[in-house]
Amino acid sequence: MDTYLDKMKNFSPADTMLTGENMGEKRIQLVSDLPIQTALDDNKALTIEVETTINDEAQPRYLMGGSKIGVKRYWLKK
Amino acid sequence: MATISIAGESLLTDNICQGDVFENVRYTYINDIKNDGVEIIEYTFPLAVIVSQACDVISMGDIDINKAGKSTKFMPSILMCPIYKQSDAKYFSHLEDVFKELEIKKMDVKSDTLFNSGEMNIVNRDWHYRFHSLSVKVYKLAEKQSKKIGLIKNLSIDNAIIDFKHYFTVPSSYLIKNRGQRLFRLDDIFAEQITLKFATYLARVAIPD
Repeated sequence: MDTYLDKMKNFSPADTMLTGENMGEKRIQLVSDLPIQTALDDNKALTIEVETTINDEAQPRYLMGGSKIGVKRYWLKK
Repeated sequence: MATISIAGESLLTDNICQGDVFENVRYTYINDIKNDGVEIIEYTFPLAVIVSQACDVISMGDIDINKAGKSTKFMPSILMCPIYKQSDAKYFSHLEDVFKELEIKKMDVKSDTLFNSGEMNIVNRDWHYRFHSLSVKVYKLAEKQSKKIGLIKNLSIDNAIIDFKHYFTVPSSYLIKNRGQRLFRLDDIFAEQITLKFATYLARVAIPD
C-alpha cells in the first residue's frame, strides 16, 4: 500500500489530496511551484500546507433526495 | 471497512454511462388494463445508479441524442439499482409508502430487520451478497484536464447501501432527457465493482427456504 509520501511524490502544484476517513480530513496543498519528486531530486526546499477539518458527526454527508421510495397509483382514461 | 468510491461531477451535456448516479428516478408501469383506461404505478427512487454495461449505455445514449445509430446497438432499457440510507433500509422505513399505497399487508414480526447487526458488519465490510456498502467522494473536474480536484461535500455519500434486489429498468431516453437530475459519475473501477457484484447476486443459485 502506498504511503502518503509515496502518493505525494507525484503531486504537482495546485493538486490537493484528501486523507483520512469519516472522522476527519486533511487537505494538503502544495505551495511550491515544483512537483514534489522534482524538488526532492533537485534538493530544493518545499512548502506544503496542511489544513485539517473535522467532520461534524451529527451531520453525516448524505445526499439530498431523502430515503423513502415515493409511490403513486392512478388511472389514465383512454 | 468498505471501499470509498471516487466520483467526478458530470456535465449536463455528457452522455449517460455506467456508474452515473441520478436522483428522483421515476419507474412507471401499467398495473392493470380495463376498457376505459389503464392503472399506472409510479415509483420515485430517491437515488439510483446505472449498472448496465458502459458500452451498451453509451451506444444507446448516442442513439437517443442523435436519433440515429446502428440497429445492433439498440437497447430498450437501462438497468439501475437504488441507493438507500443504510439506517432507513435496515428497518424498512424506505418501503412504508409502497406497502401502504399498494395495499400490501406487512407480515413482519417485531424483530424483522432488513439486516441484523451481524449482517450490518458484513455489509460494512462489503462482503454482503445482496447489499453493496456505498460511500462516495465526489470531486470537481478541472477544466481542460481530467484531473479531479476539490471535494464536493454536498454530493458525497456516507453510510448508504445499494440494494441489488430492488433493481429496475428505465428507457435510456428518460435518462437522457433528465440529465439535469444526474449528480455524479462513479469512476470506472467503482462502477465496474458494483456491476460485478450485481451480476454475482443475479447469478446466485435459488435454494428453497
